[in-house]
Amino acid sequence: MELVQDVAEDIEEANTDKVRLQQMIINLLSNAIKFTESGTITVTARSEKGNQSAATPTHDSRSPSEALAQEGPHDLRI
Amino acid sequence: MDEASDFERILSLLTESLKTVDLTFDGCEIDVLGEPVENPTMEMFEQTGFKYKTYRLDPTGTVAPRSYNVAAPFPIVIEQTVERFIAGEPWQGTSEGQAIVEVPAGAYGRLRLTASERDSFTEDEVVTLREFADAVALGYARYLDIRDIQQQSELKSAFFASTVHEIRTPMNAIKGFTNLLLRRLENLADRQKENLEKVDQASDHLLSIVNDLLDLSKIEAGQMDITPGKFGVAEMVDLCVSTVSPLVG
Repeated sequence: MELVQDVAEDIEEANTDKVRLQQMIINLLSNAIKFTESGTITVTARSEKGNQSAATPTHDSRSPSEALAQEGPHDLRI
Repeated sequence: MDEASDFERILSLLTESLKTVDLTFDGCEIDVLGEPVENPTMEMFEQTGFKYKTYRLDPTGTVAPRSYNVAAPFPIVIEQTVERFIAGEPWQGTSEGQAIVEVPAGAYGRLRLTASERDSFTEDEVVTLREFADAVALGYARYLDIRDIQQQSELKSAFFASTVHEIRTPMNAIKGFTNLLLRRLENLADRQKENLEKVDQASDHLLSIVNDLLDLSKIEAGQMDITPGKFGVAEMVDLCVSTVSPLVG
């Protein structure tokens, strides 16, 4: 199993609760590691296009249970 | 929360629903009689009359306590009506030229309609009013059930939060004194040092579980504080990945 970082070079500063966001990412990652038998876990970070006020959080259109029930690679976004 | 305000709450629901139901009781006044004495008997009625809290349903939708400790329902009651009243059944009668009908609303009170321009209510009207009062009583019973469950759940959450907090206090002592030993005693044998480090790691782990549980309590209580600030995303992602990378087997 491999853990890969894919952080965009032009990524901007974030303005939110750092401790809580960190907590979320670490929890997601440790779950991903726990439930992945083989393959790659990629952490991607990039800035959404558009100005700050127009930027909306992207999310998977499926419900979390639907997304997790599927076989094969998963794509979770926060 | 006292009984009266509960009752007033259900009464405003009742008023709201009265607006949506065509009861065709034009020109009627509606009173809701709450909390009659328990298990009324004919003797009690003869001696004291029944004691009520009475509420008047205002057509605008507000509910106001009208009077307390009203005695007998009204002075002229034929005996059959008193019996029906005691049995908790719908009944109707006439008092001072006003037609009166009263139906029980479960164990929570009675619904009374007074009409000054009529002699009596039809059988159909009594049935409709009774069904309506039953529905309201059922709704009130469910409301009370849900409120009880919510209260129990809140109590458990509060107990949970304080217990978790109690666990954290001794944990800090274990963690602190382990660190002290590791720092102060340079001549520890390797084996001892290794064991102490395991204690240290285990208490870190336990402390993080306890902190997560405390966070859960805070979220449940709506007291999770968010402290926004600007920070570099790349550094944070790096930190997260290096935190979890020991888990990758």
